[in-house]
Amino acid sequence: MQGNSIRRILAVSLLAVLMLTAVAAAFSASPTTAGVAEAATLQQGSSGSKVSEIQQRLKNWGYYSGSVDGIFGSGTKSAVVSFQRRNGLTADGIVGPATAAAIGVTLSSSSSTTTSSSSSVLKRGSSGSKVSEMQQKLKNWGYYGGSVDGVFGSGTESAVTLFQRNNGLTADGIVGSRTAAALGMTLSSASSGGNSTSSDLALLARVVYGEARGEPYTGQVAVAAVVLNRVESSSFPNTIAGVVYQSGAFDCVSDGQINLTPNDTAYQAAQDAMNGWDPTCGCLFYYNPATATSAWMLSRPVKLRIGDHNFC
Amino acid sequence: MNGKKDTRAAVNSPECEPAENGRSAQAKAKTKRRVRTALMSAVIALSASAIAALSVALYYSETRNATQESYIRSMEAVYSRSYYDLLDSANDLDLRLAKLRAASTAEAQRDLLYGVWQTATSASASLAAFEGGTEGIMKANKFLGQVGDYARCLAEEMGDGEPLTAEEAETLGKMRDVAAAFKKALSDTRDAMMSGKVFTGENGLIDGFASSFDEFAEPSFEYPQMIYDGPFSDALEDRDCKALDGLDDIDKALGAELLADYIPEARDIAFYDRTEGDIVTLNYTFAVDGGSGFAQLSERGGLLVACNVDYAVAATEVGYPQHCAAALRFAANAGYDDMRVVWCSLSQGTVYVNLAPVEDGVVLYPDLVKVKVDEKRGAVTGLDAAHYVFNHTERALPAPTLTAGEAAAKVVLPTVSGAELCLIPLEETREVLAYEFECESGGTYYVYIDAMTGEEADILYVIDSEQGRVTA
Repeated sequence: MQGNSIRRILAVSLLAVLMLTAVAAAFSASPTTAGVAEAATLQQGSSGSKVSEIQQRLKNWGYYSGSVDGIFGSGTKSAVVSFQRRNGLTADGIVGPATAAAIGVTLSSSSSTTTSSSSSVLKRGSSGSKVSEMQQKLKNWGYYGGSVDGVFGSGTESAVTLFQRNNGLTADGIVGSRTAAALGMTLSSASSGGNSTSSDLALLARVVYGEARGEPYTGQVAVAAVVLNRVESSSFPNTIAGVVYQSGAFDCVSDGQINLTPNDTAYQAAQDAMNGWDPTCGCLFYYNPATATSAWMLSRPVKLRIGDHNFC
Repeated sequence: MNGKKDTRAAVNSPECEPAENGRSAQAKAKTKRRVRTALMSAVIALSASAIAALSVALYYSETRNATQESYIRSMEAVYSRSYYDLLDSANDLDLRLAKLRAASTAEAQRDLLYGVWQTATSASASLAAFEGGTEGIMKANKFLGQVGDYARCLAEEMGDGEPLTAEEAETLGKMRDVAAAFKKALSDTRDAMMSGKVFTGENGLIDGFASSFDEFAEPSFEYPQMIYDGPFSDALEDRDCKALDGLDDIDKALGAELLADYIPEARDIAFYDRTEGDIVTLNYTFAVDGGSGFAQLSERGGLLVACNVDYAVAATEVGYPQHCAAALRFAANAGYDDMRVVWCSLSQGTVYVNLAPVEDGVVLYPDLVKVKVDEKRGAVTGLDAAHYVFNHTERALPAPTLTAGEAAAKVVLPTVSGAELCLIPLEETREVLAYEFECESGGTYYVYIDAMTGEEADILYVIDSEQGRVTA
């Protein structure tokens, strides 16, 4: 009997160890799978929002006439091949990093966690796909007459200098982050940790949507600007979340409308305010005169009226 | 047979009526019993249903009440914790400001000043948990913001080993009096809590909490004028608009004419109203092909302070346009010429182009003009020149004491650009002449070396986010 029990315990223990090993193996395998998925290119058979984005861009530029359905079929492949031919890329119908960059999309959705791998500045002597991309852009806009060969020579340098001079940039023939931005391209995806600002934008957009979605656009920017003016004022908390969630500060927090999903206009208004637009020129309050009851608030001099809101 | 016949006759005969009545009564009684039974059954069934429904309702009500009470207790805990944290911070703040009176060396003063900054920041965060819409609370919060900010600025300036000046010590002394008033404002709530009162519920302490700070609205203590190099300095309230100095006021009609010059495609320009903000502006609405706009001109001088054009119909994409050139053209037409593109960022379908004036080869970052350009249309959709209006003035810039090469030698990261001489704003109130270097090391940095002292004046790091490419 005792021998049987020991055997049973040993068997159960062995089974448990085997199961744990299997689970551990499954967990350790998952990052590899994710890594493969992130690095994948887009080709016939692929689907998703990135495919839609590419289809939309190719459609806007006249390469694609099918529906923007997020499915990479033969029609999309033909459009990609046409685009690649016209832009000096390998015409294989596969959207790899070079084609994606030329189209203006990024394949990886986790840009905030990627690290720098490519050259961070382009100048005479540089070469590669980024140089090709830049040459193509300069060629399309009439600055560059040479071949799109991916080699940064004297012709490319002259074109860059001319582009910089015409666009109010320092004309040194070197493509740093500012010239790259003006060219509509990024040289590296090195930066990380920017998500805190994104969450601020989303929160601000929620306030705009919850408080002022029926208001004129300028009124929506003004509401977002009031939130930011409070952040900068010593009389209020020093963060966007602190100001928004200060007890009793905004009706949309009290009635739950802050939890509605904001539309594009609300995002745009929040974005404008975060970039410095402030139609109120520094106001810290606003109210609807039809519904406001606070005597103190109503006694404040009104500086601006937009839609249903008085700003003060 | 006869007997049977007789019996039948007897039944139908009047003599048989009592018996017949008896049967009828029996039948009635039976019916009654049935009705009573049915009624009873119905009543019992209804009662049972009612009891069941009541039980269910009671159960849900109890569950709901329990949940509600749990939420209220959680809120009570949040308020209580915030209050106790606030009380601790108020005590620490008072204590540290008191100790500053006794500290004489720069080192001891610096430690205490950083402590004041830390406790004021904590107190402000705790105070924010309570209602903020009253003047008293706002002014109490302003005190916390300013005393912390002032202490931090003083501590940072003490790097040279010089202790506080008599004037700075006096200002801190006055702030200690305010800190004492702040502590006192919290005492009523503390007493009430000691006697068992709570924040939530009927007649809860939360209702009267804001009024504890009424004294801050009309103070009996002296609140010093706080002018220093910090973001909460009083110097930033009622700011001067340097770019408007010496200019004449314009009227509504002239404003409309100027706007027509600034934005040639604007039609149906109509005066909207006047804003008495930090910059007094005359506001106009106007129409453009496919949209409408809103523009603000400074009443003094008629500068285009801000505008926004809202296109109703989305244009089809025509290729990547030259947004920077469009921004420069628009700004020049609005009177902001000799500008250089200093930043471009794409976000939400809009390219934000920052322009800065260049004088004698120096890029003037405090005088930024920001222009929005629609990514697809390539048309300008807005301009913001508030920074320019506040800061632009004729400056007597000193000649740098460091050469570009000497400044470059102080940059530790690998640089990818030459040195660019520029004026940068610091703490909103200071301007520093500096050499700018773009650097790359696992990310893009802009490093600013003070052209007069060689110190690192500022470091910006480039972040790709939903807001586009921004620096922080």
